[in-house]
Amino acid sequence: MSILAMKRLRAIALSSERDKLLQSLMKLGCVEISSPESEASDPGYASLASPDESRASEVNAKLNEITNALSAVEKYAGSSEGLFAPRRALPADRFFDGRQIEEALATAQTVNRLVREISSHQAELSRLAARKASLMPWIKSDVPLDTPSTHSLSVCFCVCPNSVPFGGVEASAGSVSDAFKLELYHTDSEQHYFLLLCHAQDIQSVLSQMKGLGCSTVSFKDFKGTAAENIREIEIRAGETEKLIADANGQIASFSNRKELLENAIDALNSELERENTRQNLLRTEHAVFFSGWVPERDMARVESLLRKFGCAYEFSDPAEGDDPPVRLCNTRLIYPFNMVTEMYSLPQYGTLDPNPLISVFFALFFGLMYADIGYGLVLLAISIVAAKKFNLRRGSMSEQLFLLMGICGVASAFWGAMFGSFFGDAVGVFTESFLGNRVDLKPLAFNPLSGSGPLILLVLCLGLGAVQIIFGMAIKAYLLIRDGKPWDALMDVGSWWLVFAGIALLALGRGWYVMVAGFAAVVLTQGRHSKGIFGKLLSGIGKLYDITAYLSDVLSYSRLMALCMASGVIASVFNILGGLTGPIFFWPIFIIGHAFNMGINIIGTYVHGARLQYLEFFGKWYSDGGRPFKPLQITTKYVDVVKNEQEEITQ
Amino acid sequence: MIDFITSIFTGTNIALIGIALAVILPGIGSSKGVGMVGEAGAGLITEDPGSFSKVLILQIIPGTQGLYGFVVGLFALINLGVFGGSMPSLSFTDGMSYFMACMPIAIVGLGSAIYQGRVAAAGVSIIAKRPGEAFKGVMLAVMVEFYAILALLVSMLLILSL
Repeated sequence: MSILAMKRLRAIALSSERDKLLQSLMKLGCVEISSPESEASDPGYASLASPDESRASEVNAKLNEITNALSAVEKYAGSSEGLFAPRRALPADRFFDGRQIEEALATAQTVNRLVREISSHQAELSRLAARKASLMPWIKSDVPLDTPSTHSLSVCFCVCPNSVPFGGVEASAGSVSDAFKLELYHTDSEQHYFLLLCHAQDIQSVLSQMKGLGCSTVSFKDFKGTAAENIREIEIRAGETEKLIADANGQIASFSNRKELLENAIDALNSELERENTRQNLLRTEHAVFFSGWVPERDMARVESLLRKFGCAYEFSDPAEGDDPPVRLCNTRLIYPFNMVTEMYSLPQYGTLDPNPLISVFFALFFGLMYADIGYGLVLLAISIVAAKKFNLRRGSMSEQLFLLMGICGVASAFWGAMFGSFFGDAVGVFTESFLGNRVDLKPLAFNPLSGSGPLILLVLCLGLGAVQIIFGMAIKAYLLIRDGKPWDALMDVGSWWLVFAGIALLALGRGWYVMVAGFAAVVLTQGRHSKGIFGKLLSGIGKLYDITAYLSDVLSYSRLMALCMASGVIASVFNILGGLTGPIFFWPIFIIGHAFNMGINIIGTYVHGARLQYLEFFGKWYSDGGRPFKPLQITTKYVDVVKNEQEEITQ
Repeated sequence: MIDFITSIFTGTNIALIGIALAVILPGIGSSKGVGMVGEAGAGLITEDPGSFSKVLILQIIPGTQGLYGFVVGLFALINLGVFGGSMPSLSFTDGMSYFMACMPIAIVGLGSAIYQGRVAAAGVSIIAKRPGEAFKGVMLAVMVEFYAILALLVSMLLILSL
């Protein structure tokens, strides 16, 4: 339940052991290796930093090769898994086995070669298709395309825009020659396709006459035989090419049983890349490497035994002034999903308070209040349980946090749903009234927010909860001030305002105004103490009275709890009413679709507004943000779970 | 002439105009908002079809105002007793009350849906450039929703109190 204490680690290891050491540290997963900048300011050190990115780019190239191959296999084998596909377990020694990667790489190269072949075949196919299309209009011609003109007879294949009727073409040719014949093969939406046979003497004049109508000759240099023969040939070749493509497809698909190999290799290469990038951060001489980094205090012993095994010289020290230790939050399983809410804002600074336990109760309570419905809550809980069972969610991953949070918020929603007597809105009442003839409503344990004075009670409840959270936030601020040895600041900054609040409460209860005035006096007298001069202090103290509006608007902001609670309830009841109007058969589809829609729309809004109340109203009172997340050198995988063997770690 | 005007501006008709506006204006706003996000999203999906589900979430966000208007309209009709089978006749004052009760969601629904659509359409570029941060775009868009929810609530409370 806290921010983990960090120790600075500085170590010198033998160059020869470097890669094995990094691998072991990665398996351990609890050392963050910092970039050498802080050390490099010393010119002696700077000369030792020699980033070398050639190996990293080599690993990257392998990674690309295998990733492409995997996506090709997935495409042609037609199998891909969903977002939360379970990961399989893989022993660490196999995970780091170089031969596996080489084998995967060989497979990937074969697959990628096949992919390249397929694409060249496809280019061939489209070339053939274009050739075939250019011959199609001539298919009726029984004259071979390569028929040569003889001494006295010219043979020309011609096209002419079909804006001119074919008779017109004939007439224009006839106007200059008698010794010719036109044979029309085809007319499409643009052109006439025809053969011109003409006496060699007249050919020039006929052609120039026809040119006036837009005719031109077509030459078929590379073709032999008639158009129909050529088309047949092209079709045969296209068929062959298609068969080649299908073969290659089949071959790629047959690699689907090697998918696991590829996936393992991708994970292994990714972790190698990570190690390579870390290696850039090591300072090195010929025989030794130096690195510095951060280790959580609780993992010190494990890191120490590892370093000793590798014969390193090392030291642990507490963070010094000006250091920027990374932040890792450690919480029980029930609280740590709220990390998701915290991380979306910003991690706390090192050495301050872990906000997760502090927001957990409020966030769950507020979420439940806004989403208040027994049915909706149970659905959330069910989704959370099914997801936990079905997907092998990684400890600490975003998805695990999400589903755990969903379960907790589901319980809270069901709780408030019971308080407000809401089960899928007023489904019970509408169903019994419409189909059983006698309205039976679910009895709320507290009150119904949608009827009578319900909205008003709900508003007061929400503002009350808000006031509690704000006062709690101020208490945390006071605690922090006292912890830092400033009890007087705590008393003046927090205490004087609490006096004001108590005074306002007493005034509202009709118990006199003295306390409130005393509170205001305390504010005026203490809040200007950082200004200069007696008038400055007094004036800025009076100015600080204006903060009362900030507190007021903070409390009023919690009215959003009421708004979202009622809005989701109202929409739920609309779908129930619609279902009730349409009769017992159509009731169910409307019920299911409507409530699914309402749940989906509202869960986003509920999460956002729940989080917002923490960020602005609660964190604003005490939180110091801007912590840097702890990023240890560790195995991050997508497809496999690397099973670590503690025994092996020590003995290796 | 006066008879003609008074025969048009009966209480019932004024109530019905209000109800119609409560459905029409947020409906127009939502269509516009959803449309804008859809246009921006279609461009992204041609590049990256896998982003469809994220775009869809952004797209439906400005769609809720239309639903809110419909909810208010439906409740007003139920409250009027239209579903009882006969059109009730309202006094001018009562009709005006229904009209005014419909106005918050009619006006705020129209504006907020369009503004929300703009934020959500901008969120599409978050999906394009930083797919991991897509939810933050959703959060930005949802903040606009709040004012439509407030309008919905006030309209509902007014109608339920009539």
